[in-house]
Amino acid sequence: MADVNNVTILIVEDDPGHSRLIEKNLRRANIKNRLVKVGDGRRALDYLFEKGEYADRRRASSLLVLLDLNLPIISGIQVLKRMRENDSTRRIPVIILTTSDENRDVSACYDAGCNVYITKPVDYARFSEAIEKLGLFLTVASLPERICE
Amino acid sequence: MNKQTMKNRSEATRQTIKFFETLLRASTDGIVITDATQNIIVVNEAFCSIFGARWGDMVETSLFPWLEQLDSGALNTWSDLEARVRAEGSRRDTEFRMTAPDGVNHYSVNASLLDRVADEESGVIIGIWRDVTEFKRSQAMLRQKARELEQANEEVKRFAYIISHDLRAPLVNIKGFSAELRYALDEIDSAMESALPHLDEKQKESLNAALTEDIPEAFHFIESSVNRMDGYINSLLKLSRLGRHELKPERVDIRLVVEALLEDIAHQIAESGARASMGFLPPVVADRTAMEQIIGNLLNNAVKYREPGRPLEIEITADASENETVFHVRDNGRGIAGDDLDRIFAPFRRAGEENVPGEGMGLSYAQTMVRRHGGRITCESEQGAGATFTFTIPKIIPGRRSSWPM
Repeated sequence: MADVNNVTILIVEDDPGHSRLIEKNLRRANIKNRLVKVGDGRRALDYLFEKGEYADRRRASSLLVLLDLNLPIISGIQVLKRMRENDSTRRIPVIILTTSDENRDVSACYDAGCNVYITKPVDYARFSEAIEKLGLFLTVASLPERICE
Repeated sequence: MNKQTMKNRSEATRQTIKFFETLLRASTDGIVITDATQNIIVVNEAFCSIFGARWGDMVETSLFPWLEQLDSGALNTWSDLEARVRAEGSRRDTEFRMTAPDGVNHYSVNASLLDRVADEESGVIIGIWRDVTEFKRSQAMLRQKARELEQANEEVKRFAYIISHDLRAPLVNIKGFSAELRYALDEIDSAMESALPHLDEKQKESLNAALTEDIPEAFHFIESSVNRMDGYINSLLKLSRLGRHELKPERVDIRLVVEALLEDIAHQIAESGARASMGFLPPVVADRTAMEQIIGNLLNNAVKYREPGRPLEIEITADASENETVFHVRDNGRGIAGDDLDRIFAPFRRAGEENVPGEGMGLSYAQTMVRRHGGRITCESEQGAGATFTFTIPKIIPGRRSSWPM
């Protein structure tokens, strides 16, 4: 089991405002982990599989992914599916953080193997609360060590 | 048999023949009678015109060469039909397309074995040809229009779904960053204490105005507008969800539904001295939740928009016709002005003075639900005298699919 503080949080979010708000709230909730932000699904996969511009990235011992659904190039659900298909990323916790509260989106994500589904509330107090809970999740969850291929 | 009787009888026969000839001439359907060897015994003008021929050319000739000359499909279709009728002795119908002299036409053809009709072993076949080209064309057009409508409907629903999600994302930012600004403002506020001695009176005054009036006012407007917009988006989402809601038709006792709904608003009714009455309310086959929402919305509106100082009366009645059940919800409330009647069903539209809270979506939801059942909802009202809302629930579900049409 990985040391929680060594977990790198990968934020996959195309809206730079949302990405920044997530970051601010994580910091406010006293989450000091390293954050990596990417703005589309392809970059997320490149990062996860150490390809493209992330071919020689500093390998994080463990990862946690905050994933938006509505992403350019490759959608969030596709990223999730690709992660679950691959042995090196299969166990990485994935938290869906999106504006959609449609039932079919929620069930599609759980079917594809997401760990938590959180709706981004427009109400900021609730938004902060959601991110804070996320921090709590981070402290209680046992994050698997990254499997080295 | 005496002469008189014979005369009467031949007179009657002449009469019958005359009727028969008139019928043949008057018919817009082509009628042809052939004997066992496909020779035309009787034919009318309408039949000849299909072949672009005159009566004199066709009568007492063989039918097959005519058919062959017209269209190979026509010959095959007719001989198949004739063979089946001869074998089975029953009446047969078929439809086929052929190239008539004036273009491609669609015919509905009926053939009967005349000997069964006349109880003689003559092998005579009577054929009735009806040109259904126009009918087929309208049918195809209707199908096309229905497809287009369904597509447009799908697009509207997708549009509502996409727009409501896409609109939410910037709202999260506006709301989030205005909250972040507030945090920043708190920081400034707490630092003010120590900064104040370094400022002159004028600076203090303008800074104070900015911190205590201008900035909070701006926040107030930004936040209330964002909240309102969030409300609109949520309502649109709800409307689009109702439009996609899978209906579960079941037998619904409307009387029980109304009683339960009245129970829910019992305290408001008692409080305002209102009286609610029910007429004949037959059960319908419909989606229970939808029926509760439709009637619930109408009852709530009646209570909400009552005329102050006049005891509210609500009356729920119904008429059942062969095809549909028609429900009426009548009240003696403040009513709706004639000009507003058209817009009350549109989203976010409210009529009259806005002195009661509401988002203006209730009737839109009700209309969406009624339409999902293939029904209509209308309103008749006189301002100041009350309103009657009427909605219909069809008994026969068109298309006979598992769910109702859109």
